[in-house]
Amino acid sequence: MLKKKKYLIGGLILIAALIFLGYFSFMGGLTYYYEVGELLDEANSITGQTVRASGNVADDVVKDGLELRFTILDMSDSETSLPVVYSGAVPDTFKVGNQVVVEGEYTGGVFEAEAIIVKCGSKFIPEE
Amino acid sequence: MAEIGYISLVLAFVACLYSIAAYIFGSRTNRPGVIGSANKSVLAAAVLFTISAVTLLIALINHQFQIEYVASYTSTYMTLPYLISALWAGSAGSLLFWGWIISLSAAVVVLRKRKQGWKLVPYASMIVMAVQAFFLLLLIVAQNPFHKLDFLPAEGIGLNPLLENPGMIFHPPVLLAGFAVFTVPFAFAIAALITRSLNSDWLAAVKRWALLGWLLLGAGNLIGAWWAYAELGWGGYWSWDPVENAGLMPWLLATAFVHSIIIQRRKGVLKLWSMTLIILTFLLTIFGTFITRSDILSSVHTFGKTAVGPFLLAFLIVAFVGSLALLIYRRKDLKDDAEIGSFFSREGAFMLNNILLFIVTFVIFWGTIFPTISELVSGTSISIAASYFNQVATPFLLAIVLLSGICVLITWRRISAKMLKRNILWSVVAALVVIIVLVAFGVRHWYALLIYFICAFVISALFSQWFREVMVLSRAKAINWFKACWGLFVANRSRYGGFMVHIAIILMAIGVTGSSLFDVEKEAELLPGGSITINDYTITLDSLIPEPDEPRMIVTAELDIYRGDTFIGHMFPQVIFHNNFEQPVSEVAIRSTLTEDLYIQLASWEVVTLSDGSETIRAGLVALVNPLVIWIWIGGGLFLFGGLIAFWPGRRE
Repeated sequence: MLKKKKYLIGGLILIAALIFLGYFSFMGGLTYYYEVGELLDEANSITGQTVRASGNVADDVVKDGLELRFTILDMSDSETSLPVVYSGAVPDTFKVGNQVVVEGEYTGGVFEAEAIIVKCGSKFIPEE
Repeated sequence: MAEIGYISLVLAFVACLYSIAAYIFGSRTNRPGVIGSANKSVLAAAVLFTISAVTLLIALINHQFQIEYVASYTSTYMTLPYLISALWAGSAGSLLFWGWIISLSAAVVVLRKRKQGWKLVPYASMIVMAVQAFFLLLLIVAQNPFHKLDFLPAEGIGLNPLLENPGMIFHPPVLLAGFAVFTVPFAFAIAALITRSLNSDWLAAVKRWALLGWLLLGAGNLIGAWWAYAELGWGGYWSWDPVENAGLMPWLLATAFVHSIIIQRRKGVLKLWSMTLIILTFLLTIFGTFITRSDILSSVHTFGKTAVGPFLLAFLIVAFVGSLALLIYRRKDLKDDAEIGSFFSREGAFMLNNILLFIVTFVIFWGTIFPTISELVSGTSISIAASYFNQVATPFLLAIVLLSGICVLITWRRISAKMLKRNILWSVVAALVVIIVLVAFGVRHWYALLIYFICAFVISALFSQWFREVMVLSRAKAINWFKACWGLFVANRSRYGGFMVHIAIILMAIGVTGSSLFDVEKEAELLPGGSITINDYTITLDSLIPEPDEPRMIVTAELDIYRGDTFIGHMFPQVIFHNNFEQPVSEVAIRSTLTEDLYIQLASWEVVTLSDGSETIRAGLVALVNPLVIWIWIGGGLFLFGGLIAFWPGRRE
């Protein structure tokens, strides 16, 4: 009996530890995901946080060496736009008009992206 | 042409419906003749499905652009292997391929002679045919691959250049075949539930099917990872993308299943558990298809919103509710024959491993669907970063790997503490030696040291156990080691195939750890003659040459690579511009050694004017050093080899 209890207590401690680990990693891994318009509305509260924003790539893409500057437009309101700056290898599927998700921080009116994810990849869909 | 394909699909659908009806009627009224006719119509459906698939293949190879699918995924520029691969490049074609594999599996099920479980065959075939009928319905109603355009295009659009990689030829069909094959174990499980024959007959019937599906899924995921690494140009091989997860989750549960059936067959325990595992594995394969073909998750793999999404969702719900109801209805018959004895027994360790595999699958599942749930419930869009998966899944995966070593050292029933201590002690000592060596070489990362400790422990456990077995046999039979080794191997192939798979998993764990904890990345813009250093490599830009190669334009950077002061070779990262596609394709250059990969991508290039007025070109390079990556692929090869050895039929099954 005593043995069983030992296992039970050990098991419970283990499970508690795992739930703890799971919970905090989960909360830490949560990244808020905004449309361009929503991001601009929340601009003050998200300074310094890593967030994701999605929108369509406008046609003012400027690539200067490894630095890429572009603007993404709100999906429902193409007047609302967010300037983005990024450095590094650009995904092959990145192009004007495609929907992209940028991950990074919004500070001082510019979104500094650490990653660009091209959404609904034209990967499997032929060009129209 | 298109008509032949479409009509074959419709006829195959009719054959499916007939066989389902005949199986039900035949087994209710106990008429072998009717069941025989159902079997024949299973074969007919397989033949018709094959005709349909071959028709599409011929249309793809012959450039019959009138068929929309052919015009969308092929062009006259494509070579034969890629023309063939177009069969699974699009949503409709991949569904056709999947259904086709199911139809062939169904044919194999009715053709195989078996000693055990033959009573289940009519019911199992009925379920397989029902799943097949569902796929045919999708192809006939929602996504017809033979749909014709009302004009004849002069040229097709062609395969997306990103997909032009040997990975495309193997990754999708292997993964899809793995998904399809799991229909059979699922069908036998349901058949066993329906007929209430819940002894281990159904397990005997599905063991090899489950192994095959598990092997195909594992290989499919690995090829996908390799493809992402070699082609997609972000230097990684796994990003916890929802669709990658969709391929991994059924594999994890299937891993649990192939282990739980071993204990169930030996001990008559874990009946309900095994049943649940295989049902969930099957449901997860359909779930994976659902998320790639509906708009609910964003992923690099999505086909976009397609008409089959709602059908798949309906099928998932029906299959889930139906299986659950059956499980509850038969719960009394699923009671175990015995209890799992000691915790310190192989069955105890297997059970624990099973639970961990289940939890890790759930962790991944939760992270995969949470964004959707959050959107539906609270309207907040949230995404789950890879860090969640890495932090939560990794400890479980490590525990699983560790247990896989302990399982080998432990005996069935119960092991005496003394023996266990002796067995474990040697492996612990060996692992400690490895760690001391690593520390001596300057490795200070505690997480990496922990992982390598576990890996070394498991490897030495596997080898020492194998060595002990060889010694015992060679002494008992007075034969030399080689003979003993070979004799053991032949007598118990599936066990030693399993050993190899375990070693393969360790090799992969070593590679994953090395490349994810110790990778270094650098980026720089270089003029010709300029160079960057990364670790002890120096990379010098020699020249950058744009070169037309109809229908493409290829820009190649010629790089000189030095290690220290020694010249070790050239590398040629490229960017390819295809005329048909706006997007360029980067071809990364990889130099692999056993210790590390040097991975270079040409990220940008442009003409710049220098201060003296002359023009030159400037290249932007992204360079990575990924330690030990090659061990993932070596482990992958061993995984396939060991898996095949375990799977391959013996002389007498």
